[in-house]
Amino acid sequence: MAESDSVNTVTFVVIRVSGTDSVFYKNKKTSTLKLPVSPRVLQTTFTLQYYPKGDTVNSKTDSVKLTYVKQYFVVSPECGGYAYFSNLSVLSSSFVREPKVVNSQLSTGATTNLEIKL
Amino acid sequence: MQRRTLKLSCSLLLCLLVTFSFAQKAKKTDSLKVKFYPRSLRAGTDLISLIKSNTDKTFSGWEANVDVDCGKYYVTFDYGYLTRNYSLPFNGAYQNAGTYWRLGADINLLKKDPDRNMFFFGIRYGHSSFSESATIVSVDPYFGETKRFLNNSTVTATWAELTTGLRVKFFSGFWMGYTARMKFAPNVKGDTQMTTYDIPGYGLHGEGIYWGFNYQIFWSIPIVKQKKPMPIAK
Repeated sequence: MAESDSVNTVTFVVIRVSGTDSVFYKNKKTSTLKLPVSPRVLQTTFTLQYYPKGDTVNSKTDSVKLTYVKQYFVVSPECGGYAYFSNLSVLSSSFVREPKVVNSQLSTGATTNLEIKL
Repeated sequence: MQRRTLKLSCSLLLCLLVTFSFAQKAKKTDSLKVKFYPRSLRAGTDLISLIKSNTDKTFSGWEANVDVDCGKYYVTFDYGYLTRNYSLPFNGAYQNAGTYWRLGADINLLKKDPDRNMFFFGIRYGHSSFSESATIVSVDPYFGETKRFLNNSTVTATWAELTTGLRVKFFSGFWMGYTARMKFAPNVKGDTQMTTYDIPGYGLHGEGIYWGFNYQIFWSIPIVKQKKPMPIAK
């Protein structure tokens, strides 16, 4: 999450992810987000409610819909099968500046996949 | 990727060096030229597949082997059927079934052995046609349980092998021996719904080099009447 070209922290009211009732980053201040994509479908919408810079009263809501490809594979009989998510791309967005995919291979590691500039 | 390529190159180099050194040795001890013509056909089967089919619940299969004795060289053909059945976590499952064949040639370093025993090196081209399916169940903390049934109905795979082994005559017309296989360069087509896990005749996909081992019994059918071996010129 970046403002202009530097990474700044943003205060979130809440973040919602399509396909789950769980809420993420409720009243949290952060510069990086770690959010899940739905394994059931090939697209997930993230709705971010946050306070723009310098405003602690009026929150703003933006959303971004991401699409991806799933490839299943079996690791071993003991470990079972997994889905590998790749080809991440932005399908639609309400942000003023289009979010940028910096790594299209999704993983549970610390790699940044998407940059959003407010 | 670079590590795999390095491992493959080292293994290939080692095999070539061993083959070359044995070939040099054989050249010194046996200077007579061996004519290339089909002398006999040997038909056999892999005992490991038959034993595993009765002892391993996840495995069922058989393999038939044929080689044609052409003197120093043997033309070989293998044909087999294999099915695997694994249980996966959360009541998931994986199954494959299909046929495979290998075509290749061996060079026998024991050229003048009167019993046609063999210590050989060879190459193979392998091909497999099979289907595979899996039920993959995953439990996600946010999205709950996801169950997917995946099916690759018509998959084909090709690969190459370097082989070495022994055949020893243990009874009139019967040979026993092993074939060790270094399998590499698998090329899979048709794995649309899931990445192929296990290729019949090859083994686990995506492991780089895959090693195989057969213990075989052969029965010989003469094609032409065998001449008595010529004495080695000194």
